[in-house]
Amino acid sequence: MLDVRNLGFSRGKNILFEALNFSLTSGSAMRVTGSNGSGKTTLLRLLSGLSRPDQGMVCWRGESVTKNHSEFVKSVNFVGHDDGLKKQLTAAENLRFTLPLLGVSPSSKEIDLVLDAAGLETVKNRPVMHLSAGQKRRVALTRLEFMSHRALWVLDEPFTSLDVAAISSLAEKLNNHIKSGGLVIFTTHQSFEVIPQAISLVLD
Amino acid sequence: MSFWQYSSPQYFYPLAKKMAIVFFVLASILTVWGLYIGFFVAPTDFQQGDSYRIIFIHVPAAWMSMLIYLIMSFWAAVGLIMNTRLSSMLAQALAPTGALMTFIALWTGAFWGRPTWGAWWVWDARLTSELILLFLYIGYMALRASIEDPRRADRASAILALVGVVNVPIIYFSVKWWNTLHQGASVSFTKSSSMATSMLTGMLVMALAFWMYSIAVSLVRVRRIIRDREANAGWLTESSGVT
Amino acid sequence: MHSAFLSLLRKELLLAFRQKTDVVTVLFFFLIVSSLFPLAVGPELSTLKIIGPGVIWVGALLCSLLALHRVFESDFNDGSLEHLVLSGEPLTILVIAKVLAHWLVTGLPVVIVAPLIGLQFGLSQASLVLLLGTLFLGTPVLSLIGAIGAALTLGVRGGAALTSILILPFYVPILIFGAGAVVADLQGLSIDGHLSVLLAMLCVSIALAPLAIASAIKIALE
Repeated sequence: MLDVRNLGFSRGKNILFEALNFSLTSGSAMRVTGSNGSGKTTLLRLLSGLSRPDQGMVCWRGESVTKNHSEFVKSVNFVGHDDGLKKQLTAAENLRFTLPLLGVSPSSKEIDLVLDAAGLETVKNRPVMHLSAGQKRRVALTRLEFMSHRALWVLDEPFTSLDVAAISSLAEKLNNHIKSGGLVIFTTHQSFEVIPQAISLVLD
Repeated sequence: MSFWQYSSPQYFYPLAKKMAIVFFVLASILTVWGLYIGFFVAPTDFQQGDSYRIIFIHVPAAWMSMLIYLIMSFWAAVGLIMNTRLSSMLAQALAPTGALMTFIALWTGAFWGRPTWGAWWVWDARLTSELILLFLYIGYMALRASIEDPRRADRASAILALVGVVNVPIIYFSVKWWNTLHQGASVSFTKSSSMATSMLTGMLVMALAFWMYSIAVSLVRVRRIIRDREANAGWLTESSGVT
Repeated sequence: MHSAFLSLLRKELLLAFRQKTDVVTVLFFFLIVSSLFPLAVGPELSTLKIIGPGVIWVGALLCSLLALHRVFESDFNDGSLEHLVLSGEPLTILVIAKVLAHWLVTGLPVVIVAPLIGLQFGLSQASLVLLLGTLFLGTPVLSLIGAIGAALTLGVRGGAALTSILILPFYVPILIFGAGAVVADLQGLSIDGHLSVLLAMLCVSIALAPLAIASAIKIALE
């Protein structure tokens, strides 16, 4: 489903990676690791259509991502390093106003249900700036719940700031997505295996 | 090897040096010829005496300032659309020369103005447009200088240059309108039809000289830019004779 | 596409409502800057009447510059800007929603307050109406062109000063025709030309500026 051929990218004079090749079929996962500054975030942004590569190309379902950009991004769920939340809005409002941009318009009730299920019942109507880092992360990750129809999930450090319960909950969600034929690409600093079947890519 | 190989910085680098030498020579010859016409052949203007002769510098510089902006924007657009590095480097190299031409045009405009109208600056439509053009060049260079990643700098400044190109006619038209509305001083360098042929020839020769000079200087500058930006690519330390 | 545009617009307006200080600060800046001129040149009404339209227009321009960082900066910093690029909706349409919200929050208040300042400069009622009209047509153009500068300088050092030098040259035509209309009217000249040009600039900038803004945003996120 996802083919990466001869991918190269540099920042200024720094060559982050070059001649990168890999393929992912449906129902697989990839964990990207490497030291700070090795280009993990850059790679994920390339794979989600936010950046264009210097060399090579990313192909989704056989078509080049840059050529078919607007269709490609509709297949991507990107949860980046930053939470993508407006701090003056509540968790519920953040979802209510951001999800239509991504093509879904759930009702307030549906949003409340999902937030409650994520254990955010008590804080969902407070401005996000009052939430802890872990709570903010969980709010950002609830997007996955609404956007599960998008096949390619690209997650940059999704487990950061999460407690043990939240980590296992997220791992379960990711594993379910993989089982139903989706793709998950993520970076993590965690040392233990959360997604056992994930292919490992190490950048240096 | 075809013509297109020269769109790679590596192959363009030595070619640029040879071209630069040729253009410097042409520029020198044309400058000598042009100044000769300007100072010895063209007659003394019956109204302005000899002080008008500065137009042989002022007008060519103004023409070049506008031409270079167009060419710079062209190369920037090529670099943006086709994602080629050398095109963007050419745009980067042209900007300072364009700014210099604009500055010369403004400066000589002032020197021309002083004896003619008794003022160092008048808000004439053309001078005011030149001033705004200078701001456009400075903006382009400032944006480039502020962005650390050269590729992002290439692309962002290309957008700025294109927005500039679209706006330059609008700005010129607006300033002209503004000038006529307020009945500002109207500067007539050329006195339209009654210009001696030798004056026109002189200006054209000097314009050509400035053009050759601009190309030569920009080629030298693009070589420096290539050296800076391609420092990691192995070819620079090899036979090109540069460390 | 409709729901994406509308929900983005509503989000921006809600955010502005929760952060009213931004809007109020810009308005007070407008008032203070305008007041500087009588203090500088003297309170003779005859002088003030002449410089009034220009001063108010320049004030509106400076307000536009001051408020520009609000358009994209916080979205860039907290990762919300990515939502726009990854949404699948045309970025140019979403950009129009952002700039429209920005104008409603920072430009429209300036337009409404301007006639009050005009009174301080002794402008006639006809002039005040014309001032209102030209600012109403011109301030959206300032927001659109300014947003190009804001998008180009996202995350770049140099901040407001850099953005200002980039776009002030492009503000010049709007200033000339906007302030010029009021001045021409005072001199008894026809202003049809001025208003047509302002309207034309508005139409052209609505059509073209979003393209430049969208490209600049994509470049900033790469």
